[in-house]
Amino acid sequence: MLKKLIKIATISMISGTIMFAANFNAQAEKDRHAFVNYFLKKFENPVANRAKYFPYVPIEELKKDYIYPLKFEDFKNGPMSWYRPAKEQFAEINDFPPYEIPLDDGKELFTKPFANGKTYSSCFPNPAIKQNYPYYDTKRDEIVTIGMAVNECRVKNGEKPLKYGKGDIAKVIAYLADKSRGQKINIKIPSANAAKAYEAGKKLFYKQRGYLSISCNECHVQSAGKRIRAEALSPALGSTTEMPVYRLKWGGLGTLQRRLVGCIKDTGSEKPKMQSKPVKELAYFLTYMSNGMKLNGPDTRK
Amino acid sequence: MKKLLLISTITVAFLAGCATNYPMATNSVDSAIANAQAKYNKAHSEMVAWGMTKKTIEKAKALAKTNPRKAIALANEAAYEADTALAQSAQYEKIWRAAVPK
Repeated sequence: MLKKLIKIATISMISGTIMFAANFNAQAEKDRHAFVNYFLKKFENPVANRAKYFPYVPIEELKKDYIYPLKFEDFKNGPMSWYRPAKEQFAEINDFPPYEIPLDDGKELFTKPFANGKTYSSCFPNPAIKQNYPYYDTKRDEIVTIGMAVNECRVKNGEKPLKYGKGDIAKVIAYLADKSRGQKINIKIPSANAAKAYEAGKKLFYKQRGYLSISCNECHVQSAGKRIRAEALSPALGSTTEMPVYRLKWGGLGTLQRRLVGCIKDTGSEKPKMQSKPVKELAYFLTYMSNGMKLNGPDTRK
Repeated sequence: MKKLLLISTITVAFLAGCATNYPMATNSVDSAIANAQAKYNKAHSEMVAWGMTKKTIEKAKALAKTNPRKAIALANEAAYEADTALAQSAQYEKIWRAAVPK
């Protein structure tokens, strides 16, 4: 009798957990569909929808410089997807992509043996894996980013971890990204705690902060498609596909973590640490929003 | 004569105020910095602190002995920033969901 009771209780708990996760996935999918539809509608016809989405952009500029209608996949190109002057500049820059040299360095680092004779291949036999990162590791009960995976591989092989954000780590990730080019982003929410992490990332994205009292959302959703002075604001949709990115502002490659930390600092907030829980949660949420989009990194941005 | 008396009373009162000002400032500079630090710690732990608050407290600490008046002003400024950051977070906690596309 007791055994039966325990069995029933266990089954109920497991099914309850599964149902909760499934329900949360449904909510996250609802969020994602609404997010994608917002961008598709916004860039369907900026001239016709000027009053709703682009009230301060001169009509002549909308007619002359805006590219539309945009499809889902177009958003992976950031401001180059909708802003003609940026697209032309981008095409010229990418005649000789500035990320090519660091990408070659990344290949060399990836194939160069560690002191123990093994290489990164011992951890990543198939390097086309970037579409699955960041993922929620249910055993460790935390989000694992691709940078963490690279460093854990190094430590496992007796090497020192690399500094996050730029330099060699960005080069190795660039190699993995290049091998994953064309793969569709596939982020999952496998547990109740993963759902909590997604929700925390979502809050960080939408909640205003810092002495400027702005949020990621205000610049990269509501104001995406507008300009700050001469700079075109990139849409949040597809913003993780090009990572790691060669930014002309940085004069080198940088990771998604570096970009997110920089964005948070730009709101006037205290700069969080790379790979800290909130930054990983933000990356998790933001990458989930671009689920199904093809990876095109490394790429170049201003 | 009355005028002279009034002026000298004011002068004495002013000088007395100045004479007692320094020890008062030394006491209050510590409490002002402690107050700012406590508020900043709270904002920092909730990940809502503003970018310049920590630096402002550090500046206040550096000036505590040499220029207590300025140090108090800086500490109060930092406390105000931390308070405002916490209030801002509480306010937006109620409304951020309204920004999520539906």
